[in-house]
Amino acid sequence: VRLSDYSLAALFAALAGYVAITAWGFPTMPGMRVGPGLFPIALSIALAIACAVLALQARARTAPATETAPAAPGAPRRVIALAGSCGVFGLGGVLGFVPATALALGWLMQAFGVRWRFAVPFAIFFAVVVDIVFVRVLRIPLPLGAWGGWF
Amino acid sequence: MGRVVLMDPITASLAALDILLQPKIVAVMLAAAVFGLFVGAMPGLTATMAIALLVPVTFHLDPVAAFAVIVTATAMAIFAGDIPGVLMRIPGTPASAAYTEEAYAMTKKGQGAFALGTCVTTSVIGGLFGTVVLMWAAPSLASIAVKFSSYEYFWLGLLGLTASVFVAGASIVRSTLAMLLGLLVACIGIDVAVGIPRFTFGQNDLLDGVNFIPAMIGLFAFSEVLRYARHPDDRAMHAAGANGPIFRGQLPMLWRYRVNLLRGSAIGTGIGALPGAGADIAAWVTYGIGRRFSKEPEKFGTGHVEGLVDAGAANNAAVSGAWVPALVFGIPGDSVTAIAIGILYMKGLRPGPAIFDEQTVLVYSIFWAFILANLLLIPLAWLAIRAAGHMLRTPRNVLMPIVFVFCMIGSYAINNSFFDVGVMLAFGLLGYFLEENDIPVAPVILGLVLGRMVEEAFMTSAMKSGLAPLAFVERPISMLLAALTLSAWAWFVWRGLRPTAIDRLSPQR
Repeated sequence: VRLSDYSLAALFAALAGYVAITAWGFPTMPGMRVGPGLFPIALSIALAIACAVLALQARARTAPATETAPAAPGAPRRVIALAGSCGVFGLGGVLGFVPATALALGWLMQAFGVRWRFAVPFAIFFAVVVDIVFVRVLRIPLPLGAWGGWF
Repeated sequence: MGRVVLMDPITASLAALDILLQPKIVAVMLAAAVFGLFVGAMPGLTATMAIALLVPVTFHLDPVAAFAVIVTATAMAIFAGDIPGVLMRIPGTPASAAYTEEAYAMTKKGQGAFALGTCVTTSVIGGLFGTVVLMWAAPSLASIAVKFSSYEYFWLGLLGLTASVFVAGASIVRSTLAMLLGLLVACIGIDVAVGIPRFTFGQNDLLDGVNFIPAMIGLFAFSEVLRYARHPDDRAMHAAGANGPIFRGQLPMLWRYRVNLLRGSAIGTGIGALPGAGADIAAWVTYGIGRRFSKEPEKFGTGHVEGLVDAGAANNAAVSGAWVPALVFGIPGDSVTAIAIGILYMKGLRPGPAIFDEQTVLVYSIFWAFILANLLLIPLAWLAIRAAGHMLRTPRNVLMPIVFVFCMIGSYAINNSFFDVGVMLAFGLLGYFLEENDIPVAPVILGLVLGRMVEEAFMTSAMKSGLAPLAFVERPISMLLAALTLSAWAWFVWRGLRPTAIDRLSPQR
């Protein structure tokens, strides 16, 4: 995801263009020249100027391009586990907070290199402790999931 | 010119202290202190991250307790960043980075305990100095700020954003992109002028704008988990020993370097009060100044305690200083006060000069929280240093999944909404993308926080004046603020178009 300065400038310029076009369509206030589009349009102009400066600066540089730092070995597996853990947490509404959190935490710890023997009991213990602290002590409700009716 | 504070300051102060000393609030302060010390002492976890993770908890506390938690955790985290710096040459937070080399050199010379003691004492004195300035300067400035109209607020907001760009520590263009991105995100939701939805993509959840807290957690905390997943750093952390009494010899040392202590505290408070400039910049600047004016500059870098005094006092003083513009103008002095302003809004309070009139007790409770937090620092820091050996052995592959869980719970618990979890994840990805491209995330937050205020001031001024440009600079203070802001931007454009030698030599990407 490391982009060259030109690509970065083009990306932000595209955003500026989208904002300006969308904001142009907003109505003005009755009997006035100003409206809800004024501020976003001003911002998109400023963004476009900043993009132009970034591109001009890149053009003026003479040093060779740097290499992108490669991801460490096993990175795809860890990133997939992170995405998967997010998904599992998202199932909290069905699974309930404690099972979803224990699953997500255990999976992520294992993917990050923690042994199952430690990761599983720790994840369960941690999820239960957090649930007690949030629900019982701080009175912050967390999802009970499909088991909700049992409690 | 009358002061804005209508309630007798002594009465308000005593009432605030009475509330703050309630057992429940003392308990949450202690819990926040332990949390702040833990997060601050863990390399890679910042004070800002600690506060971002605490915000969902503050949501369920009353305002005094909420701000006591924020103030205590910040003061503790900024100090705790020194512990791994002294013991392992790894700064716990960016605010400790300036003098980590110096502190670790002392440890190698067998003066680790003395270095840690210096960090504690200078942090406490710097923090108390900054608090006294805050107590004196904030109400005085408020009595002037009450005369400000929308024109002054517009330019002041713009000046705050400008300062955040110039001191973000990255390229000015990249910081500007980040700040504008934050302002654009602030445009999402019902607009302030006529009440039509803007950039909501048909999502009802976005009508009130992007929820600030999940965005914050994503930018600062989740992006760090993502970075760890791609580039894990599991270097073994072996803390060098720092046995011995940490406070022995502190008084003679503080007396010898009293000028450094005072100078570091004063400059730190001033830098903290600049919007966007936080404790880390304060520490770097004062370390440089300390070396410049030292009688023994050749000793700097070799484990010389003088190097710790200026910067150690400055970073904690900056924490209090940052609250001056936050309370008086609603303009955050650093990332932590940006979150604090978000909490004020969340509690239905509005920062600005009127808060000194309408919420006098709350304001004084913030002052007292600073004093108590800094005094609590002495025993708690002593305990933390003793426990540091165990704490620092927590492997990052265990720590990062725990941070992940707190990110998820923190964003969910605000509104019991998985939409907010989605916002957190989106901003986490955005934060990762920005930092991979050397774009700082702090200006995004400042843009997000100040966006509504700047737009509101801009629209009010535009409606009053019929968009006549001269009206924006007719009043003396607005003229001064406009001159400052525009000259800063003119200089930036000129410099941006004419790269310096350093710019030309820096690698193209």
